[in-house]
Amino acid sequence: MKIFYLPDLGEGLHEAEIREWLVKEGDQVTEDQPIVSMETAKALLDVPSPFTGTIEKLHGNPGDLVKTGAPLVSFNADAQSSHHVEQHRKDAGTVVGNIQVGDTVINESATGIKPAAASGARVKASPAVRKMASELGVDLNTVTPTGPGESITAADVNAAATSKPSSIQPTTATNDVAAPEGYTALHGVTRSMAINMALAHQTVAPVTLVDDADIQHFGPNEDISVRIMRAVQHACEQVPKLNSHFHGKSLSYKQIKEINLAIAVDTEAGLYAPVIKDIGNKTDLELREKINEFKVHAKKQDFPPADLSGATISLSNFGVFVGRYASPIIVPPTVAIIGIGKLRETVVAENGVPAVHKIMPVSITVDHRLITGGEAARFLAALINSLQQ
Amino acid sequence: MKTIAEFSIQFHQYLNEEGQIVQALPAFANDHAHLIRLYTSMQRTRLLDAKAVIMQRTGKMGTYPSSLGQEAVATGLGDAMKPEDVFCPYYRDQGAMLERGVTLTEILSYWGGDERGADFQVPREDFPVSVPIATQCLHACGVAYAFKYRKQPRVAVTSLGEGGTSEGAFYEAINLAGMWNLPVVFVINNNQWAISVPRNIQTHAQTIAQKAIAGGIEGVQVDGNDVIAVREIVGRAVEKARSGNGPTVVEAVTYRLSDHTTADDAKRYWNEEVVKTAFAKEPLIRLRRYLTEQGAWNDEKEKQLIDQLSQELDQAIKDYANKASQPAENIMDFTFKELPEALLHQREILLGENHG
Repeated sequence: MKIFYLPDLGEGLHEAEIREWLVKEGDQVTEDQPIVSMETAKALLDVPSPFTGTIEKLHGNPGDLVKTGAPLVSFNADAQSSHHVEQHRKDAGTVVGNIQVGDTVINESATGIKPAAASGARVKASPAVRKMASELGVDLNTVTPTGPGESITAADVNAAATSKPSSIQPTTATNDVAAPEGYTALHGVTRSMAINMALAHQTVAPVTLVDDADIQHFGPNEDISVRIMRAVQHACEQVPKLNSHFHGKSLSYKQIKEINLAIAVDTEAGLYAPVIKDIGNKTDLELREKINEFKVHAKKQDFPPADLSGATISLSNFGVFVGRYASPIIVPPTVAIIGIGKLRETVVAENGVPAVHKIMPVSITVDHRLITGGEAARFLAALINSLQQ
Repeated sequence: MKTIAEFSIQFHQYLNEEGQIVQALPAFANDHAHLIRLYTSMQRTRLLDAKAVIMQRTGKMGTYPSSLGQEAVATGLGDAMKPEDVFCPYYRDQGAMLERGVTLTEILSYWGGDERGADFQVPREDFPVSVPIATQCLHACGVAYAFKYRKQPRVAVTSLGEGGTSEGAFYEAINLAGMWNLPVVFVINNNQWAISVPRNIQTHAQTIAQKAIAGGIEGVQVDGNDVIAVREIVGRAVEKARSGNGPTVVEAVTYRLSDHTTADDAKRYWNEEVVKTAFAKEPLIRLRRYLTEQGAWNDEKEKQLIDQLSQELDQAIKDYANKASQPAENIMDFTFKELPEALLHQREILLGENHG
């Protein structure tokens, strides 16, 4: 049997997702024929067959993440390649030519991985990974390697660092654990949500404040979304600290001049948070065009990567569905998220008499590690003032 | 008020997208054998690119920049140079490098991560591929200055993408080239895309060629899908430079029909209709059509050519795959004359690991 191991399909990619098999087990294929459609962090592409021969086994199903260097397809033993080079497990995919590999046998013990020989043993890790290990105080000899050619990856070092008894057990997932029987593995945007939310939950200290804005004066043609964005802009100008990035490890923060507003968008595939950059320097028309553009992308779930990064503050307009107030999750390194509830008409006191007004419920959730309750309150007041003008 | 200076940019085309002659051909193009040679070179480049992308997808090649659709630019400029000239290529110049005598195996080795592939056995003085954007423009000026200083009738040629002309290095280079009247030619492969940045938001200039005016040098535009035009106009620029009449910027207008590199996915940002139209204008179809109408080409010859080039390529891939790898210490041995102590220590660790 000849095995085709997943190569690095981009530049330094650690994994790729199987989107669609273009062949099935037992198929006869020719060299260079596309056999599988794979999605990486950057591209969707067809991977060709390295051999002419019969497919014996497809390692994985559509939706599965395959690590660089892991088996992808097995061919029959007689499969031929015109290049007269055969891949061996030791020089998995990413490496062209031969790489010399130590022959030290690594044995697994109950407490972890230990080198078989006390001296002469070598671990394989890139300089960046070695530096990271030394910073985190991780002995590379105790790390289970999962990278290509039994090399230690950054994720391996992280896993080892966080599993030390003195540190807190992470609730974030690692790539190494397969989904149990009967479970559906998350991938793509749903997977990103799980990772980001778990991370936020572990680190952020959220506090939420809610109130109502009286928007009785809004005309019938008022562009409410744009009005909300302008109110966020106004509040950021009044209390600029909420438009910051917080660096939890060093307990430092950076106040940011441009307001890059992430907007939570619900799609069939899951939650996206595309970002409108520098809203302060955009006209109302430009903001509206950007919102419309996002709606189109949301339908096809084809947001350009540039639109999905760089947020400095977030907005969740959950009220378009239902709900008055909420405490949505802040995604680090940002420190604030605004929630807008369902608009309603209600009775309010106006000059001592009851009157029916249009009301917009507003929530602000801040990371209390950086933002004080006072700052959050002043921000919310500025936001409401702007809406009520 | 009076006009004190006026400039214009000429566009040159001989063979249009239907494969028809639109103006009297230059002398070389009346020789069918010469045109078939150019066609062969473009086809060789195309097959190399297609195979290299497949090899990257199966782990046998590093990141690779295909030149699909732009073969006429590289082939034309490579053919316009004399062997004693010096070429300072950028990363999408495999066609020109092949014309210069660089081998398929050397090109594969370079992109496969083996620096020995940049040590060309034939154009000994040609520069290695420049991946940093537009730096090669200044290298070419340095080479051209050396020729001028030594009073040698030689020319430095460099090429870059239209995105590269937004770099400071490009403007510095055309300024120097103009000021010192250097024997250098800048060929711009205007393929409409700088990775995912389209031409229309790259620069507000109507043409890339007109950027030459700022350096006080000639700028000219050619149909970059017409290999006859590229060969002729770059050839004129090279001979002008050789005779001491100064530098030229040649903008070759074409279209990138591939991803930027294998690490890119152009489907995410390009318009399929536009790409479909661009495919109809690509350089090989029109030359094949012309040669066929001239009775100089047919399906039989096409098939023979593809077979012959495929065999040549297969052999080159075998040679590439079977090339002995370099000793690990080569990573450290060619940067310092004498290794600093810290690196000496690392070198010992490296060797110890290899032998232990």
